[in-house]
Amino acid sequence: MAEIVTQKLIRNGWPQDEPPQMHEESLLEKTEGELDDEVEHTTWTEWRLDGKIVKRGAHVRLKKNVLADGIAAMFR
Amino acid sequence: MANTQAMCTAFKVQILNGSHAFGAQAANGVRTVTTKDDFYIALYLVTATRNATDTVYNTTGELAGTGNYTQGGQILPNTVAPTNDSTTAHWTPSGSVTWTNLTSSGAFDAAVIYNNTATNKNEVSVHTFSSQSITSADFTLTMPTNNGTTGLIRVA
Repeated sequence: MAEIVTQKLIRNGWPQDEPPQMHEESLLEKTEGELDDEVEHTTWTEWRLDGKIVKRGAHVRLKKNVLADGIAAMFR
Repeated sequence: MANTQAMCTAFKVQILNGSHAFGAQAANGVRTVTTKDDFYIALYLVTATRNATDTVYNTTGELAGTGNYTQGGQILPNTVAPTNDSTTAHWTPSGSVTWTNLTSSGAFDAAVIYNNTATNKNEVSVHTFSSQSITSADFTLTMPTNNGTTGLIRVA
């Protein structure tokens, strides 16, 4: 029996405001993506129903940090 | 309007004033700080303008408190005290943070760290990443390796 995926859409404008729905998983198109640069390594998974995103999760792994450059001035 | 990765300038001043405790310092010998502060992390929309001029946490541009997001964000795990590699001091949260079954109120690309123990919830830093929109799923933010090269907050 196909797993049922619960969807809860409360987004503003995207994809569209809709009440919570149940979708049969076999009807959903699942895609995965990845971004790897000097700032982050990010992966995401999207599920689409009739071309429209109904579920999307992401994992951002930060690489870039913030730096305070400590300076001790010389006496002249 | 954009978010810019930065260590907040006001925070740098506050470091010199001894206003933040990322770790307890009972055996430090400089000043006894037996209780470290609680640092939180909050998510901000791509339309926000968070940057080095920020001084305190506020909800301007933060994700709305809907879809399993609570404004103010989450406490950062902090079991590893600041330390140093050679001449660079560094601190990194000791674990990831996850917003479970999140539906974001819009696309977001920044996380702000602030001191929730401080009276004014003073802001520490802004960290940017690629724009993300989350729908009915988890969003996890994993911290960089805690060392003098990649630690999340460094003083060189």
